[in-house]
Amino acid sequence: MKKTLLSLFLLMGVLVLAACSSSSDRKGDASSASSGTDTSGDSIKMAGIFSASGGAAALGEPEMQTLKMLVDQKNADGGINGRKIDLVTYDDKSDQNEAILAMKKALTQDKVSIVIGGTTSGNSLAMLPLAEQNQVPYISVAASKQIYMTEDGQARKWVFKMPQDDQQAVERILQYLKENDLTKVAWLNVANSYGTGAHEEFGKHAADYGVEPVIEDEFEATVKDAKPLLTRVKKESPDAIIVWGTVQESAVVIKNIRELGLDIPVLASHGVATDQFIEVAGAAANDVVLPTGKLLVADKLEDSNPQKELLKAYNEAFTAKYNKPASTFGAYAADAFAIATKAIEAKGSDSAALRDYIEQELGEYVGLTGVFNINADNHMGLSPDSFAMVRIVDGKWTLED
Amino acid sequence: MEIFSQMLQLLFSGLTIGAIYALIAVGFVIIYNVTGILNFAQGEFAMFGALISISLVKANLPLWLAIILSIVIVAAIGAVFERTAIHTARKSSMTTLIIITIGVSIAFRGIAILIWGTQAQTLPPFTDNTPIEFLEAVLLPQNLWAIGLSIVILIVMMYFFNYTFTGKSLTACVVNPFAARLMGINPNKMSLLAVVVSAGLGALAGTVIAPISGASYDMGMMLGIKAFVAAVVGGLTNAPAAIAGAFLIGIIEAFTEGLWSSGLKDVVSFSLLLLILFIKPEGLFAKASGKRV
Repeated sequence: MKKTLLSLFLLMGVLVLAACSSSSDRKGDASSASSGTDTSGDSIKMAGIFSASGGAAALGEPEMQTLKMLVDQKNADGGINGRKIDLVTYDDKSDQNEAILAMKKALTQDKVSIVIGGTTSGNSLAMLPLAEQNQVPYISVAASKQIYMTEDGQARKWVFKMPQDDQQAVERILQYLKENDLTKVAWLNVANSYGTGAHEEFGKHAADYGVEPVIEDEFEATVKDAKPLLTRVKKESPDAIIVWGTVQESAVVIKNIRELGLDIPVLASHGVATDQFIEVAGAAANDVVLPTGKLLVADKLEDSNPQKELLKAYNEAFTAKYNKPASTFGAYAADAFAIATKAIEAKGSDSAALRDYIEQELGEYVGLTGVFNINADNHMGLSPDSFAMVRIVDGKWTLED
Repeated sequence: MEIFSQMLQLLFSGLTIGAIYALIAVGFVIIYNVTGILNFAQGEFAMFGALISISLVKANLPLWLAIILSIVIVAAIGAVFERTAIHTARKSSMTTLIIITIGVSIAFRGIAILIWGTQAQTLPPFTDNTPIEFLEAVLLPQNLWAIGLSIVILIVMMYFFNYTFTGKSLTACVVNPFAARLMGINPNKMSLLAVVVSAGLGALAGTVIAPISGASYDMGMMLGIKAFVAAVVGGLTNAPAAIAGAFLIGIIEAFTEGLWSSGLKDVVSFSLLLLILFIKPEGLFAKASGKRV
């Protein structure tokens, strides 16, 4: 017993030394932490719940890795106001039940001050009622608008959301079409909630941008050959074609467009904004234009853009640590952590105070995904401009506009 | 003229998809013929075939070798599957066996997630894939591969079942297992052979379709179901008829999608399945016989 206490104490000493060397003005706080053997009382508890395995692993893994990396960095720098972050992470295995259980555990057993996570919209929606019941602020990293807004358009009190709404990607595409004078448009979406949701938004807003759909249809997520569908599109001779889906099915449809020799601009959804799409679609991916977060084209942004340095720094840190390029999804987690950190810096560990800070005092915040303007009516705070339009040229992302 | 080239385009698409269904449908028929089991893990063989060949190509093997190796590996997986899952439960009722195959298909998908993850991958086309223009419709060399291979398989199967001793033995096991045994045919061995051959065919189908539509862990299910429809439409006991059924389904789907709506193509093909089961359960191309499916 004595031995363990001693080694604990030694460990503490090392930590204090590390804290001292990084910043001297926090010395007082750090040494006060070492006076007690139990540091957890003085640390700030934070939960990260992501789909690091299972169907949504491609999204959840970089989110989990990002959060862990940032918490480690922050703690190595001496924590927030000298208080360490005690991060508990859960992998919900892309399963809603697991997500709910993890949330419950985080709130009732770990008693965290703030929760970040919910990789998919389904998981976020399943988890958020618990956060509301327990009155703990929850920052979601999934896309659906319902996450931060109830059916009647009210903001959910305890929930914030980092990514843009899917709807805003549709609006960004419509903006692009208008700017480029492409009015007669073919709309094709994948036959699932991702596709139909976007289709609805397209129907609502197309007229506002003077865009006239000449044909609107669906293809399944398991599509193998979309040429039959595309022969119909060809007959309508549209100015441009929008293919709204995720990587695999979009790749098939866009390959088929090229094979049929349909020589018109092809626009895709932000769901294909990964290098994997370029790999799967091959040469057919060239000249596809799509909206995406600015991470993919960070190097090409103008120097005056306040996001540029942030994006580059995040990308470099992530690549250095995990030896793979950073993804837009990881950036959501990074933004969530940055906002949580700002709140904790100002308010400490009280959940209610953290919530109020994010809603009322955060103000304009420049993050990786965009410039957030969170307020009482809008717990997401991004505008369609946070999407950049990119074009794939020779298998590389380049900035359009 | 425009209408004509559109029809031709739809026909090409239908034939390609039909060819893929055909390769898997033949697997259904062979296993059903010999063991009486509907093997719902059939589509998963295609998935394994596609993903294994992709991995082998990534390991810098030449494409042709990767394809052959993946067919061999999948055939071996089929053998293990037959010995462990089917052979040990061969005394159980048919329903149990069918449910076993469904369970195995789910397990296969799980294994695929563990090995390859959930992301879509792709295989390079077998040969240079510049589209060929033909009467204003386009045809890809990869489509020709698909169609050509299934026609070759059709011929081989016809020859195998009608003119070779092993083929005849396989057929004999179905017509009358008891008499077959009296004639010195070992139904156990035949069952193993049937599963191995259909696993190999499934793998071939997978490698053919991977360059066209990409490959992922869940590609097998829909392929398997469609191939099953094709096999039933053709008559479950007759391999060439199943191939014809597969082309029919492929073409019907392409035309439904091209002239009507893509959402309806599954409705049409499944309605056809129900219609056939109600009206002509022995299959469209079955010769009149006393045996019912």
